[in-house]
Amino acid sequence: MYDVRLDGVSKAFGEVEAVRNVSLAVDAGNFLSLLGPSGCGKTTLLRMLAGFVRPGRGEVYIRNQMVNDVPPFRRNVGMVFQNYALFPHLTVAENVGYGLVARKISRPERERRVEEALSLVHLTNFDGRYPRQLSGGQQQRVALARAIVIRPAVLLLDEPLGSLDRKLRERMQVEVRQLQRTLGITTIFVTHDQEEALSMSDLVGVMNGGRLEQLGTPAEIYERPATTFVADFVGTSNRLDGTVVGLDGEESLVQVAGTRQHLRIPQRTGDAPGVPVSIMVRPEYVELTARGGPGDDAPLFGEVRFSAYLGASVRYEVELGEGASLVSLRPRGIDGGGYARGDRVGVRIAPECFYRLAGEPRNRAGAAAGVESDGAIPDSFANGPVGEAGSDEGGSGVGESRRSGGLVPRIGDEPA
Amino acid sequence: MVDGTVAGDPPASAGTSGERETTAPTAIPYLLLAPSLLLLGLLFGTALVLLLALSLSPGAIPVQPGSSVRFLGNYVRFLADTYYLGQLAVTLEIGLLVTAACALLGYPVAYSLAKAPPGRRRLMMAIIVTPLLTDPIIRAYGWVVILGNEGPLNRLLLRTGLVDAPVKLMYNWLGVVIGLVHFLLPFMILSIASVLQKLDVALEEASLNLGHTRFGTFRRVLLPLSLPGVMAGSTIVFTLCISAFVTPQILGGGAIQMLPNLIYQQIVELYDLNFGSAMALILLVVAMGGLLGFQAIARRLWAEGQPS
Amino acid sequence: MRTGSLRLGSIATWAVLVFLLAPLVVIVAASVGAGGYLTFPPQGFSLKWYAKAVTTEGFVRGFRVSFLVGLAAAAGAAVLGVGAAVAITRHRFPGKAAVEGVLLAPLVVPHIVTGIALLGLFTTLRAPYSLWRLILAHLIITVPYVVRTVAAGLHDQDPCLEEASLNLGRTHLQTFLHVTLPLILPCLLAGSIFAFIISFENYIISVFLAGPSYATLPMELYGYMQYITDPALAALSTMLLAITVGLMLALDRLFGIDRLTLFR
Repeated sequence: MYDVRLDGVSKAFGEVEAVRNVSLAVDAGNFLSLLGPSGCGKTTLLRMLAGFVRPGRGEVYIRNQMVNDVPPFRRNVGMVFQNYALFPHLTVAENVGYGLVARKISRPERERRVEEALSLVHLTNFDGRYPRQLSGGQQQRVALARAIVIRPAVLLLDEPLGSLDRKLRERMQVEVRQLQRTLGITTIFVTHDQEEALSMSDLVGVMNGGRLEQLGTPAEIYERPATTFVADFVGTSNRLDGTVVGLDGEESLVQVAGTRQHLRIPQRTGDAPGVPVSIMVRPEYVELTARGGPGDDAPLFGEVRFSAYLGASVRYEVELGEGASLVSLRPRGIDGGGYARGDRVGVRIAPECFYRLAGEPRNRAGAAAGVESDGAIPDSFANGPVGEAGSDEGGSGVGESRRSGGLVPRIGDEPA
Repeated sequence: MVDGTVAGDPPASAGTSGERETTAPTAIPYLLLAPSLLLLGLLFGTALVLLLALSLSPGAIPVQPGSSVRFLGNYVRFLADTYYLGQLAVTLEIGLLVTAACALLGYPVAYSLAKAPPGRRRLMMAIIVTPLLTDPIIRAYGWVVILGNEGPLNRLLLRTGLVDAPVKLMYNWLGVVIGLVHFLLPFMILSIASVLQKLDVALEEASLNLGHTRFGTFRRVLLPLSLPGVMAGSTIVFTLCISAFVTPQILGGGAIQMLPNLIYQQIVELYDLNFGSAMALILLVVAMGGLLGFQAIARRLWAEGQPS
Repeated sequence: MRTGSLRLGSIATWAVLVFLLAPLVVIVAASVGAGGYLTFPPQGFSLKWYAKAVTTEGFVRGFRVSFLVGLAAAAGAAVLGVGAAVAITRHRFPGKAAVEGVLLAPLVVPHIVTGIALLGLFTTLRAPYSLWRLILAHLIITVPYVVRTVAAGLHDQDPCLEEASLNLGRTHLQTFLHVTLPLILPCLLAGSIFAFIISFENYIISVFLAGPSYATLPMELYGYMQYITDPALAALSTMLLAITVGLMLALDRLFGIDRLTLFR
């Protein structure tokens, strides 16, 4: 059973299209993060679920009830606001009990539930204080307690950890997730922090320009981004452009643009000499070897342009040729003393770590929508933009769960 | 275009046909506004329209027979009379003089206020706000005591030997200007201070660091940036000044008649509601003109950029 | 870093502050003089003028009228102003800019013009002299002040608080009563105090509308000043000044004295 389902919702504020034709569904008990840059529409989507924004088109369902016309105060959706929105004139206990009063819950029962909720967020004995007497982290816990005490159908979290310092933030991430698991509340979490989204969620929805670019498990999002945007936004993406120059059995031989170097990648239908290719690889999969040293049979080579010491690891930027460079993240100490600027190094990437992006050339990469009406691009390349969803495998209508996590898939293609 | 091969989502162009609705309009804001709009829109609005109607009816002194202006008699009477025009000029002169004096006197106070530590700041605010909240009649009355022939100021002047006989400090333009400056100075100070205190201290420090003197910094950084405050204050001071009645009435003692005093005279002493209405509307137009004029100057100053 | 120009600036500042306080100080000092004329510095010390001030019939009657009208205007302006402020800060509706213009119009129309316009209206309607004429007139000039203060309060208040209340199941009305109103109460009180002061001190509108039997305190003050020069007026002024200072302290507590820049 879905606790939350969006069916083709769109919303425009004047000329700005904040949300464009988003469909998704979340199974009961799942934790979904909506990830994207500011202005991507993720908060608008959340506010639609809370009932503060009415969708311009499409339908919003909560527990199979269409709620487009249900006012916020009848939705039974718990929300934690970005700045907590604690009532400054009420005590902690009064804040937490606020929603229970609206539900006409008797006083003893109310007090019991407030106490229970406060103990869940480790704030027992704070009931008489006012919000201004609490630290940021404590305020955050009160906001959480206030949202869960009403036993909502869905819990909405609008970047609630954004204003906490790093240490506290990491601790709260764990606590929020544990609490969510304990209570089994279906949760939608809005964030612009990819680490947070990846580490906390069952599912991540990446949004850009009002569209849902990809929906998948954290691993899918990270390792097989569906669009250039997702690849760039989540993690550090390394991108190499090139052209197929030959086919060899299961592999295609690709000449990396700006260099005379060649790379073997798994072949895909449609590959033929002259076909442009964009490949992506995560920095941690880019291995470096000392040039001319033992085991130097690396297919690519380049020169270290920058190295940055990051504590647990070292980050190198290696230039392969004009306009072609890769970032490599190496655990500190693995490659001996590491490399210095100007060192020539071999570069190796395991074939299974390549990820081929949709066939769009780089200058079109940002405009995901641009592919839609362009028939020139072969179907097999069109694994990217949301607009292309369902172009294979007989369409993926709403209500049909195809992927783990019980989400309606919006992204059509499996990666190369 | 791809014809039918792409299933799933409709093309983006279809999205533009969707409703561009914001929150559905409800009656709630209008219900909330109804009493205020009834009072300010209907009652006050009708009163103003009626004021116009009254001003167009002939006043106590009929228009010359054969005059081509039937309805504008009251206005013609005002605008053709050098006495009234002269008083209008006096009103505007005093308005500009008081505005300039308030700006000059108010600026250093506003600056000190913006820079003062919290404790001193509260003290200064109390000193500035107390007169602002005090009845203008009481304030003018205080000046009557101070400026009178027997008053402390004249006694001081006599004792120091600066003058031989008491100086006439009120019941002339000087007294009116002193009273009006006192009446309006707080508005100017608060208006400038509100802009100055928002300015980043680092701007001033940067200018000093780059080698400008304090005065150079004031001229090149503070003044241009605080000009909106000065202009806003000037707008308020000028419009309130030419509309002031009590202060010029008490401190002018009949020797100085500003436009509001003349209007009062027409209505309370001469019972000429029609001519008084016409004068009131002239005052309204002048006040609005002042308002728009100062705003236009402010905009011009901004458009020209920082004066060099 | 003390430089010459800085010291000059602070001398100018304190000179202006002395100028601002001078007439008030003079009145307070003169009020305790024993002589029959207003003088400064006062000669002798006596509180007899205070006794005269509180027993002068015109002052007592005028105070009663002004106090009643001020209270009614402040209360009425509070009710009207809150509604209007909520509408313009929390709702979007067609014609909003025009509505805001109408709400603030009484601030830009000179009071003498407002007074004459209402005199014309009441004369045309043949409305008899009554307190209501005064109250309505004072309501017109005070509503904008409450709208401004309350709108400033609403503007500073996080709209998320209201959304949180709705989200937790309270209706719009309950949200207004339990969240919005308690939080803007200081601003509302400050606006009402300001409305009271504006009404209490108004001379030029009252003089057109009050008629002889509803003379307000400023009218009595002005009338007394024309004919009698004893320090009873200074004594009364000093008492009013004390009320003003009390109200100012209240304003400071409620609204923050710094934010008074909003008013004119």
